[in-house]
Amino acid sequence: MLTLIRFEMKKMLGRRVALAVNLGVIVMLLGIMALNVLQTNANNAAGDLLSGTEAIASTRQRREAKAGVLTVEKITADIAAYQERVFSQIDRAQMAELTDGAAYDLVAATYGPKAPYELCDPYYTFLFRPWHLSGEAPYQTAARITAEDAAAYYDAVANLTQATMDQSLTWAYTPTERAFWTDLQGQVAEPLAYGYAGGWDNIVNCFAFLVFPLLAICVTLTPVFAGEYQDGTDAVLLSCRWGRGRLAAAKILAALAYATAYYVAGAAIICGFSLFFYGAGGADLPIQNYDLSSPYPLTCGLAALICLGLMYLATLGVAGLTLLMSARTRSTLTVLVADVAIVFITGLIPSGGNAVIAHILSLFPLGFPAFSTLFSSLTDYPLGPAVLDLITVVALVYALLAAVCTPLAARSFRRHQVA
Amino acid sequence: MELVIDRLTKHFGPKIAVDRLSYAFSPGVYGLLGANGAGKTTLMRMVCDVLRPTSGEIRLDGTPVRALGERYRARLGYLPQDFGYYPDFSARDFMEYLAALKGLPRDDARRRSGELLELVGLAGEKRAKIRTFSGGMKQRLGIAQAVLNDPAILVLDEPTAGLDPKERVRFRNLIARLAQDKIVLLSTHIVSDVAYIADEILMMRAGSLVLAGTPDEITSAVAGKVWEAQVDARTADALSAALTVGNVRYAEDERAVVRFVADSLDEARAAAAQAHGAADGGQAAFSPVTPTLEDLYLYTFRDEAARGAAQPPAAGKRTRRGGHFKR
Repeated sequence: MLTLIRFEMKKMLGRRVALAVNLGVIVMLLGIMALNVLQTNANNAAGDLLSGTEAIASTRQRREAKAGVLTVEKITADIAAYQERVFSQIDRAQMAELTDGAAYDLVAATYGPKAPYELCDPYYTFLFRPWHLSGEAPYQTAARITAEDAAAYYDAVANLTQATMDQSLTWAYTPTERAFWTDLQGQVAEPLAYGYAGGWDNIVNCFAFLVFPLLAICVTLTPVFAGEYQDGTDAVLLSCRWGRGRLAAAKILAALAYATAYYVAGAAIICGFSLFFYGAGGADLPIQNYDLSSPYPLTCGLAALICLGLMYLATLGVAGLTLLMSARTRSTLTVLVADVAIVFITGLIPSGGNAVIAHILSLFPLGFPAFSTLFSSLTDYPLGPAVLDLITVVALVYALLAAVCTPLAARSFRRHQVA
Repeated sequence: MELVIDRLTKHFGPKIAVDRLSYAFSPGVYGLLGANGAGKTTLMRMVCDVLRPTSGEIRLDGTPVRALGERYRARLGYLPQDFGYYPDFSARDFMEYLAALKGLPRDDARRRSGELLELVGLAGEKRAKIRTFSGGMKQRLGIAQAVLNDPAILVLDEPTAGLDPKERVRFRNLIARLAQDKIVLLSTHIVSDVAYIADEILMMRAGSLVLAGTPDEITSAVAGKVWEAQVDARTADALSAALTVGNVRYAEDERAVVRFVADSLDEARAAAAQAHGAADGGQAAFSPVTPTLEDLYLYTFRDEAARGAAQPPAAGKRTRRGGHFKR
C-alpha cells in the first residue's frame, strides 16, 4: 500500500501544471505575508505614522502599556481618569454636540496637535466600545459615559450582543436564537483581560489567504481519477489485482496526505510570519480584545486554531468534492472550473441584503474566513429547536463533505467502466 | 484451465456491441479478427473485467469472474488499445508501479521488472522517461507490464497497431515467446500478425462470432473461392470496382494479376466483359489459388457495407449466435 501511495504521490506532483501551481502559490503566500508585515501602518502616541516592524512594535508597546485585568474598579477609574484628562479644559456637554471633525479640531486646539493621537489610544477605543457610535473618537464617546455606565460595564458589554440582534436589518432572531447567543455571551469570563495578541490577531486576519493553497490543492487533485480516464490508463489499472480495491484507497490516502501537508505548509507560512513578526504573546487573552461585541468565550490562541481548523476542514471537504468530481468525469477542465466556481466565484456573489443568500454564501471558502463573520456577526442556522452557529455549521458542512465525497470517489472509481 | 464466455452481451444504448457471444478458451493463442466496430475491444474489456456485460457471464474454471474479483485479475495481463502511459515516469518506475498494483512483493517486482525490460529490449532505457520513448518502445513496455505477474490469461488489444514492419515482427516474436501455457487473446485487424502466431482464429462481425477455428481449418472455408486473373490494366480496374479484390499486381507489359474472392466466376466474367465487350472479357484467364487468412478475411467481410445480408462460409467451425464453441 505504501508503494502505491508513493507512486500516486509521484503522479500527482509530477505533473508540470501541479508543480508550477504548488510552487507558485507558496511563493505568492510568502510574498503576501511579507507585504502584510511591510504594509502594516500605525500612529504612535505622538501621531507619527509608522510602518512595517516599527508600526508593529509601537502597537505592541501601546497595548502592553495598558495590559491588565479589567475589573470594574479599574474600568471605572480608567474612564474617570480619561474623562478628567479630556474634560479638564473642554466642556463635556459641548463635546457631545460636536461633529467628528469639530471635536478633533477642538481637542487639537486645546491640548496641542498630538493630543488626539494620544487620546485615541487603542485601549480607550476598546474600553469605550459599548457606547461607541460609528465614526466617533474615544473623546467623543467619553463625553456620554456616566459613572453609572462605567460601574455597569459588563452589562453594557452583554448588551452589545442584544444590540447586534436588535439592529439586524435582514435577520429576525427568534427567541430560541436570542437565548442561544445570550447564553453564549454569558459564558464569557469576567473580568476580561486586556493586552497585546498581535500575532494571533494577524493569523485570524490572514487565514483567508489559505484559500490559495486550497486552489492549488484542487488543481493538483483534479486529475487523480479523471486524468486516468482522460489518458487511457484506467483500463490497465482497473484490470490489475488491486485496481478496484487498494488503488482507489491509495489514491485517496495520497490525495489527503498531500492536501494536509500542503495545507500545513501554507498555514505554517501564515503562522510563522505572524508569530515571528507580531509576537506569540497573548494567546490566552480573550478574543474580546479583537472585538468586545463577540459573544464567544474563547482565547485569541484558540480562535486562531479554530480559524485554521475550519480552513483545514474546508480544504478536506473541497478536496473530497474534487476527488468525487474527478472520479465521475473524464474532463479535468470541468472539475477545475467547478472548483474555481465553488472557491472563488461564490466569494464574489453579493447577497443583495437577502439573509438566506447571505447565510448560504457564508458557508463557502471565501464566505466565512473573517473574524467578524465567524465571531461577531451572530450568524446562526436554526434547525428546529436547535441553533447552530456559523462555526459549527461550517465545520459540519465540510466534515460531511469530506466524509461523504471521499468514499464516494473511491466507490465511483472502483465501479468505473472503461467504455 | 478454461475460460468460458457464456452468452456475453453488451449494449451501449440502442447499439449492440457484443451480441450473445459464447466461446471456451483453453491455453493457446487466439487471434481475434474483425473490422473496426466489430466488438473486439468491447469483448476484450469485458474479459479483462473493466467493462461490465449487459448480460451473460465469463467463468474461469467454472467460477464467474465477477465472483473471483481480485483473484481473477491477479491471473490477468492486459495491454489495451491506445494505452496511456505516465510520461514523467521512467520505464522502471512504470513497471514497479504496475507490479505493486498486480500485488507483487517489492523485491520480486524489482527483479521481474528488470528481467522483462531486458526481455523487451528496454534495459538500457530503464531510467529514461517514457515521454522520450518511440511508439514501438512504448508498446514493448506495454507488453512487459502485461506479463509482469506471469498471467494465465493475456489479453492484447491491437498490440501491433502503429508499429513499423520491423517492430511488428519483433513484437510478434515476443508475444509468441511469452504465450506459453497461457490463454492469449490477441485482437488485430492486421491479418498477417495473427496468421503467424495464432493457434486459433476468431472472426467477429457486428458483435458476434462468425467464424472460429485453426488457420488451416477456417481458410479451407474459402477454398475454391479465391482466384487470380491475368488481365489487362483496364480489366483489372473493372474487376477491382466490381469484386472483392485482395491484390492487384501490375506488370511492365501493362498486364495485371488480380487476386480476388468470389463465390463463382460469373460476376468476374461479367465485369471483365463489361470492360471490354463480351468476347474480349470472356477470354480473361481465371485460375483458382490457395486461400490465405487474408482471403478469408476479405471474403467474410466483403459485404461489410451491407452488414447482416451476407452469410458466413459453410466450412470450418461455423458459429451461430449464442452457440458454444470448444477448441
